[in-house]
Parts: sequence; structure tokens; C-alpha cells
Amino acid sequence: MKKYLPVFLSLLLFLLLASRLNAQEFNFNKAYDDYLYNYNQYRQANTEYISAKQAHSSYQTLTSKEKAMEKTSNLLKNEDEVIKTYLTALRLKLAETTGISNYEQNVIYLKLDSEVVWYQNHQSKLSSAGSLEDLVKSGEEMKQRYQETQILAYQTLGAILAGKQNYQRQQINQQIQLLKEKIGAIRQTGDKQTATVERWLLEAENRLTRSQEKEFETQQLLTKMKNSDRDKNKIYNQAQSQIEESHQYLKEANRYLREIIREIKSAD
Amino acid sequence: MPIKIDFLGKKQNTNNHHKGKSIKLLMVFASVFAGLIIILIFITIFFGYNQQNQQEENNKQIPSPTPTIIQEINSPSNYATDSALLQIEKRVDQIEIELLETDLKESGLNLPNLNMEIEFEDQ
Repeated sequence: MKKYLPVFLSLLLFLLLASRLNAQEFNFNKAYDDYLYNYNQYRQANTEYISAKQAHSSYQTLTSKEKAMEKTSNLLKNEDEVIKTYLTALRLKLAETTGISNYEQNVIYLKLDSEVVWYQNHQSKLSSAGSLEDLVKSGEEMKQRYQETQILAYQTLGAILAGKQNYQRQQINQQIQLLKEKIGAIRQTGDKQTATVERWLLEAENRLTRSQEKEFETQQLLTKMKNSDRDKNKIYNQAQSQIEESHQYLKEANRYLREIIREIKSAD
Repeated sequence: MPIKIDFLGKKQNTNNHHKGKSIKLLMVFASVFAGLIIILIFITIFFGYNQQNQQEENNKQIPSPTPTIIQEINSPSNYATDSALLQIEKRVDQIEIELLETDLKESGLNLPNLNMEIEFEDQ
């Protein structure tokens, strides 16, 4: 018994370690939790900044200025962290989404990584800011950069949604091709009329084409987004509506396939 | 020979031989007990893991309700039981569920609302 005890214990330890390692795997959920945690930290920092700003505005003392400086620096650091973790979560969501071409995925990865590096550098420079003026200037730089970040984030979100659509369109198209083969075989045997289902199949294909067109319009809309666009969110919402329309066409195409199958299964 | 009187007043002989025997017995009991605990921990870990897997599998297997009305085919054709066609039908039904479950908003990933107006009246 004593001889086997160390074996049992080491096996137990191994199992516990393995389960812990598995739990620590960095995936979208973990990245998203990090982002939410940092977003909460940021909210707290923003409240403290507003309070310090108001106090400095009222008292205009050296103490209030020092406090304002500390809270501004803290706010900017937190903002950098929120953006970095948000972009990381987006990156991992993109990685988990099927239906996006490798090329497109890699291009977006590069852009996201470069954006994260910018905020990383910005964050590390904050500690060397010597005055409130320096921090305000740093905040201004971040504001400018965030315009570009927003565009990239919206384009990434668009790519994620389009990827999902693309995958489902491929799946439906595969079934259309299989049905085409089956209907072709039925036509050869001549034991069932196939003219109607062949026409319906064309309708289903037509829905897929429309879905693709809508998705293309979405991509165009997001690609044309500029820094100077005031309401980027509005443009993204338009794009999202188009994705929903595209999705509706996919649903119709799939419903047509069900009708086609039912028709084939029914006697003339 | 050492004599010990127990709480009932009875005389007891406790020699070294008996002491050694009882320690041995205690060791055996302790080892068996430790072994049992380890086995119990193993069972708990494996059961937990299996249950988790089973739960995940169940979650995957539970189809979402679809609004599609399944109509009976009154007069079936020769292809009503065709395995290839049934296979396509099965996949089309799965796609239907996937289409209904697709999250087209990803609202959790909306851009964070950040305060970018860092300014002071008198710096």
C-alpha cells in the first residue's frame, strides 16, 4: 500500500495541474473577461478624474492640480488598457470565426496588433509626463488615434459577421450541389417529374446570390468609413442591417431547400 | 511485566509486543483510509469531468425549437426513404437551426464608450 501511495499522489497532482492548465488557456472568453474587468476599472478611474477636474476647477490650487494630474494619468492608462484588451478580444473572436479567408484574417491581425502596440507605447510614455499640459496633449493624441481604432474595430466586427454569413452560405450551397446531383439522377431514371424542383433550386441559388450581394454592400460601406465620419456607429448600424437582410436571404434559400426535398419525397 | 488498570478497575497486561502489534494495525488502518480517500478523490474528479462532458454533449444535442411546421407526406414517392436524400434533409434541418441561432449583433463587442475629452479650463 505504502509503495503505491506516491504513485497515486503524483497522478492526482498531475490531474490537478492538467485541469488548471486547461482552465488557464487564453481564448476569447478569457480575453473578453479581461476586457470587461478593465472596462470596470476605467469607469472608476473616469469618475475619479471628473471629480478631480471639478475640484481643480473650483480651487485652482497646487494640491488640486497635482491631484488632477494623478487622476488624469490614471484615466489615460486605464483607457489604453481598455482599448488594448478590447482589441485583443476582437482578435480572438476573429480567430474563432469560421468563414473568413486566411488572407483577410491575417491582414486584420496585423492591423489589430499594430494598434495594440500604439496604445502600449502611449501607455508607457504616460509615466514620463511632467505636467498636466503634457497629459492633456497625450489625451489629444489618443483621441486622434481612436478615430482610426474605431474604424478598424467596426471593420473587424463587420468581418466577423460576414464570416458567419459566408460559412452558412457555403453550407447551403453544398446542399444545393448535392440536391442538383440527386435531381439529375432522378431525371435520368425518369420515374419522377423534376422540372418544378429544378426551377425551385434556381430560386434557392438566386437567394444565395442576393445574400452575397448584400454582404458585398456591407463590406463596401465599412471600407469607405473615414476618420472624418462623425457618426461611425450609425454607419456600422447600417452595415449590420444589411447583414441581417443578407441573413434573411439565407434563411429563405434554406427554406426553399426543405420544400424541394419535400417535393422529391412526394409522389407526382 | 507492566500492569495497567483500566477505568473498570480490571488489570491489563501491556507489553512491548502488544504495543508493536497495535501500532502496526493502526498503520494498516491509516493506509487503507488514505487509499480510500484517494480513490474517492479520483472518482469525484472523473465523475465531475464526465458529467461536464456529458452536459456539454447534451447542450449540443438539444435542438432549439424551430418555427417550421412539419407536414405529413400523404403519398410518398420512391425517394421518400432514399438515404442520400434523407442525409441532405438532416443537414438542411441542422442549417435551419444554426441560422436561427446565429448572433448577428455581437452586442457584447460594441465599442467601449470612452471619455476622450481630456481638458482643463486652466492648465
